[in-house]
Amino acid sequence: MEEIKTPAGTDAEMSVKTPSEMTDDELVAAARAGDESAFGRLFERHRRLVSRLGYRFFPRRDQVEEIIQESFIKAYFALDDYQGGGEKSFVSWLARIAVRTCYDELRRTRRRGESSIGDLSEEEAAYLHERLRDVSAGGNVEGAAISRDLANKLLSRLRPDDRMVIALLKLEELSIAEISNLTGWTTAKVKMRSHRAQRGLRQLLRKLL
Amino acid sequence: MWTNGNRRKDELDDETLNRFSGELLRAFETSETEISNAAASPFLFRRIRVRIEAEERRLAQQRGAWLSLLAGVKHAIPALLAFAVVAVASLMLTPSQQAPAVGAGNEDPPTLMWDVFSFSQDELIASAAGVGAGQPGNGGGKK
Repeated sequence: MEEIKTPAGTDAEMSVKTPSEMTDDELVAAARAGDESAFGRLFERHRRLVSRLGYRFFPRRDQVEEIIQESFIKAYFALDDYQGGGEKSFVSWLARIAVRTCYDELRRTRRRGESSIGDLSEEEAAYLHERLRDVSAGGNVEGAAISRDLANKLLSRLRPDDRMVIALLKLEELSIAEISNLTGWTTAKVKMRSHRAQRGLRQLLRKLL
Repeated sequence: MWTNGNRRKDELDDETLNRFSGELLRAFETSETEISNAAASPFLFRRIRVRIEAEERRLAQQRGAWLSLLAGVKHAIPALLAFAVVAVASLMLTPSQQAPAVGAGNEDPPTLMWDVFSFSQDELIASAAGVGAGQPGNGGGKK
């Protein structure tokens, strides 16, 4: 009878290594084989990455927790599609899933009409006006931060794809090529969205003055 | 001159607004503690596991529904086969049963001939003799 040959050393290596020593690709292989703790280990390793990405778009902790859950659930069911390879491969793959999840949630939020500029109270508008005057007078720009809710209300007026690009560009400080890779959009589209988002923000602020 | 001045003012405004929008975006900067707190939220992985299991159950139910449908079809196969055999048999038998009827339809003129042939031999001789004696044909009569 012919013996089935396995890749040299793979099983031996996996049995010798502790979960913390295993690479992401090895943990993915183990999770695919039904090892729940391997997926748990991947979660432990990369949950902060997803949390950070979530906070780029959503101000509340409950929203970010929902993004983390949704992203890891999608990742779990897409494990078979994961190609593996490079050292940062799993991180990039997971980041793409997380960004896509954030984008979907932004679109859902916008469809539901939550956090529109119409929700801006008089106090918030006055605060915003005051802050803007400080900026134009060359005051302490880096001073007290505008409340995140207020910023969210303003940013939610942007189209989700514009907001996505500008947040990744300005907050995550990614390059156009990196954003293109993360979102799956062409670089031309990313550039266009970036210009449009900045113009949109200016128009929005002009309207408030 | 006025236009240039105005344009400069607009440019300045744009610059200010860009700076302010930058500040707006920075309001979204979250402290590392907040990021860690959200990531380390208790029971977060447990909730993920529960949702994964629920989704797996749902998928399994979907698969189960398909399988039961297939099983139903499998049980119906003998009945379908029997039905098919009956259908084929009836198709094969139908032409042989209907042939006489069709034939009878086609044999309408022969049916009339049957009437002709249904005369007895005496009647035929009598009618032939009658034609020969009392009813001369054209060209054969007395003038």
